[in-house]
Amino acid sequence: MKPAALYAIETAVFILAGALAFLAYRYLGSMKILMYVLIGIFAAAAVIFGAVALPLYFRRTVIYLSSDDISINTGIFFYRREHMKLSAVQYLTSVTFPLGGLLGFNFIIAHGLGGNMILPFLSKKDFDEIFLQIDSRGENGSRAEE
Amino acid sequence: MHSARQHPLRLFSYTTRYFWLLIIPLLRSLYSLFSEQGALATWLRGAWLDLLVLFSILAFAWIRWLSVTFTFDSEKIVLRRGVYITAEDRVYYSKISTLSITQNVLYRLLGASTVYIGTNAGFSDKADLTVVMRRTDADRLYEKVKGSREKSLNYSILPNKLRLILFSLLFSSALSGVLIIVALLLETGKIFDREVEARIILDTLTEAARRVSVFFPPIITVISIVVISAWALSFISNLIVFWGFVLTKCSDSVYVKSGIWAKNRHILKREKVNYIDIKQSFSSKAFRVSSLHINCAGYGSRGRKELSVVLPITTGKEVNGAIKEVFPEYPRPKIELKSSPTSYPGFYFQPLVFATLPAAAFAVFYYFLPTWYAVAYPAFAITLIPSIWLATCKTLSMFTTGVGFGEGYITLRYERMYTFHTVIAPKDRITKIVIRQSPFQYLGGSCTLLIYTASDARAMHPIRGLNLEKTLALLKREGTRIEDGV
Repeated sequence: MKPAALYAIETAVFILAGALAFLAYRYLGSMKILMYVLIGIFAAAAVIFGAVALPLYFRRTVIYLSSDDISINTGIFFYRREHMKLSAVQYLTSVTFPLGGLLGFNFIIAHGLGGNMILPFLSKKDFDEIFLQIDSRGENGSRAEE
Repeated sequence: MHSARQHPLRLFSYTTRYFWLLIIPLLRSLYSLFSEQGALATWLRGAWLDLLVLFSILAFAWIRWLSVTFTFDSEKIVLRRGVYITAEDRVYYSKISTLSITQNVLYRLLGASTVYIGTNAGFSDKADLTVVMRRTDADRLYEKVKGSREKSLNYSILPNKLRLILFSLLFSSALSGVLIIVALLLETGKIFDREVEARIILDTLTEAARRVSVFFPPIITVISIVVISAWALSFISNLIVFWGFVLTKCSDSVYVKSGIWAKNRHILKREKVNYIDIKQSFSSKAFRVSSLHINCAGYGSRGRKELSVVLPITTGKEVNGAIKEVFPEYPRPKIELKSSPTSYPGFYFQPLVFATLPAAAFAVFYYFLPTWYAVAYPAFAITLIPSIWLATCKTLSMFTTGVGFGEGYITLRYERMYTFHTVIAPKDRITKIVIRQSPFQYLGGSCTLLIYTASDARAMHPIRGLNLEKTLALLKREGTRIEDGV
């Protein structure tokens, strides 16, 4: 997963929390207790989400791709290992955000038998490589093992 | 490689997504009503905002329409959508279980077709891709998908039109017609005032009843009008859907075409068919008439409110012949285990529950609003009819319900909500087996066997009233060991 995506989301989270705290400070001056509580909540949420949860999520998310399978290990507090045979993939959806190549906001959704697997925040290089590999299985007409 | 945009008709459905923006003109109109400077003057002063909202709705829809493009070649279809966040769906024809191309009257006049692409992916019963194409594009895609399938000698089935009319006339379920009417009333109720609607219906029915009251009591006439209209509606809708029905079988696919004004075409992959289902109503069962349905991802899915028919209502002999020709690998395993006589009273539980609600409502009216007796009594009698009819169906199902295995397939025979099913599925399509016992079944040593099969929606087949010991022994013989005991 691309670190630029982590930095971009972290920056957005801190800017949003800062903006909300400023609005609370600006407009809730007459209700001091509520103002301090809200600023505290915004600051805590930004720290927990931006400095703990997100880096943990990015660090613990690993994607493995072989010629037959695709796996993703992920999770913040509950660790999850997902595994899908490439032959079970029925079709692909790729999602690209603006500046996806630069920031890593590229996603692949593999629609398999009975469920989907989302591969998040891929660098452009990984995105192209994974997409091509899974797609080439479909191109070869590999049949699903139902 | 062929690339194109969707048919401009799609713009209309896209505009509906932004209808919530109309809340702005609505609120503004309400505000102007209470204005001190005159409602019209206030409203006119801000009319530019309403025009802006209208323009925004059209602009959003147009941008959305522009952003969706599709490309297809001899092996895949690619759908691209989005302006800032772009998404791309890529589906290979080899993975498509159902390709459906449908046209209603309006679409046909304007040269548009809705294309539904279903695969075995995911857990939703809705089509994976839905695209409104120009008819020429849809035809081209149809030919491409058809071209990707194996070539072989074809076998076609064209139901006899006279028989289709006759059987639809005799066996179309009045219940389905009633459901259609109720749905229609609910839909129109959203548009018109419910009170007005009730008055129109009541006035029309009362007028009709008055005219024939010379021969019949008014209440009977009203019920008859409702039932006959429901039946007629069901008959006509059946006929419209199945007129011109042609089923063609190739080595790996089944092609279905149907419809009078609304033309529908489907390509189904045979290896992706989960099970076949022979459906019968009470009356059609008595006359050995049935229709053949299949479960294949994307075909007849609830998301499209369409039937999953492969052979419309016809004689049992023709249905059996069609199964032999179209699905020759499907044997007809005999029913090995039937409902036990000790479980027969349990079959009436559901109709009894259904009858309780109108009975309770009638009791409430009788004790608390005795002046309403004249209305409540016929209403109670009418609402009791479905329960009595269900009890009749249940009585027949006592003697037909059962399960059997053979040659790697399972046969399930059961009744559910007035419809009798004979389901044949490959054993490897069974995803879950559940044995359920109510306290009464526990005492009587019987059970309900629930067989879940692979499907893009929940597919559960309940076999009621089986002997528990025999069921466990049968499942054990077939390699499923379920431990007995609490």
